[in-house]
Amino acid sequence: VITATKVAQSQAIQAPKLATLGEMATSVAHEINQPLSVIRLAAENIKRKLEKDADLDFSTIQAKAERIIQQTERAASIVDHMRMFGRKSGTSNELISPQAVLYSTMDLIGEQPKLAQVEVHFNCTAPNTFFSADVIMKEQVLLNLHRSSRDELVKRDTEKHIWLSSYEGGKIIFLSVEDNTGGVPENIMGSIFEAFFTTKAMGKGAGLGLSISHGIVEDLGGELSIKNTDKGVCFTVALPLAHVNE
Amino acid sequence: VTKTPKILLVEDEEIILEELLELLSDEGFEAVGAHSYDEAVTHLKNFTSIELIVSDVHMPGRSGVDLITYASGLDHNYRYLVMSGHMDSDKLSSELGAGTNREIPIMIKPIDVDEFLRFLTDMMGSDT
Repeated sequence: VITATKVAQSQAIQAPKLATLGEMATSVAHEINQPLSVIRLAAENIKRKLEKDADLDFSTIQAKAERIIQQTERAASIVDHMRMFGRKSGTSNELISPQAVLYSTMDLIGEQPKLAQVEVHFNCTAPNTFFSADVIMKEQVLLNLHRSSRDELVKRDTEKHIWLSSYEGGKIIFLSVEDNTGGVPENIMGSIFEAFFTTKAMGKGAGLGLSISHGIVEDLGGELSIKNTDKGVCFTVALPLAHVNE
Repeated sequence: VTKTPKILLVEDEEIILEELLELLSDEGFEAVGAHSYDEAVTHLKNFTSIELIVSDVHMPGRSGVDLITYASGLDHNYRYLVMSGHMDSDKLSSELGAGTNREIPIMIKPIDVDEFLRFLTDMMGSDT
């Protein structure tokens, strides 16, 4: 039964998701342009080589064709992700592993960390566990948490790190995003998940990413928390472990 | 690898740099490649033969705009060509203009190879 409240919640989550997509448009254009550039150049190079030497050796041609195929796959996977990203959330929960979510989030983030000179580390100690969620929504949460950390990190002149990890304990799966920003001042800690709360400059963020993430996780029956660590801020998503019948 | 490159090619993505260097070499241009601002600056110091700098804009660390601004402050009259994957070429153009006080040509990626080669030939005179 779909209630009016459910519809309203679904729309509330959908709206900032599209805003996020808008913000990402520039970087998506960049991500797609990279494989297109490789394809164009590889094709041009082989064409020009063949025009000069019709007896060009087979392995040279094969290597170029292989490169072109790989790059079309790279572009297709970006397009595929973007298409899924605009999907409505709600009824498509499935069993997913934390590892799969971490990897697909990394695909979505793409080259952003490299350009911001942020080093992203992985640590998945619960690869064969599962929880029930819409994978797109999970990616959205981790994407928002990652972005929040990254935007804080780029203000700094030191080495920049983000640790993505997952672990299990007491039938709960934990996914965490930790950074070395030095932490959040205690006086704003209580407001961090409030909608429209932001420490960013005007026009740099609507203050919705973390509040939406909080809402999505609660919707899934989990909890999103924040704490300061000795390095920086650590966001943790806690979700109940799903029973898998095998 | 040539000891007297006339062109410095700066691009952070390895495969694109590789294909561009192959193209230039096949077409008879002497070029050297760099993956970053720092590597490009080192090449500018090591190779006084460089006449033209062809650079990507968005790179980890300092950008292509930073590089061209730096190079135009050196006592060497380099020519420049910028390759950008982003659409906002007006903004880029004004950033480049502010750093160099001149108009720098911009090519949008994926670049049109015929146009690119015509451009290089016009700027350098072909070495073939």
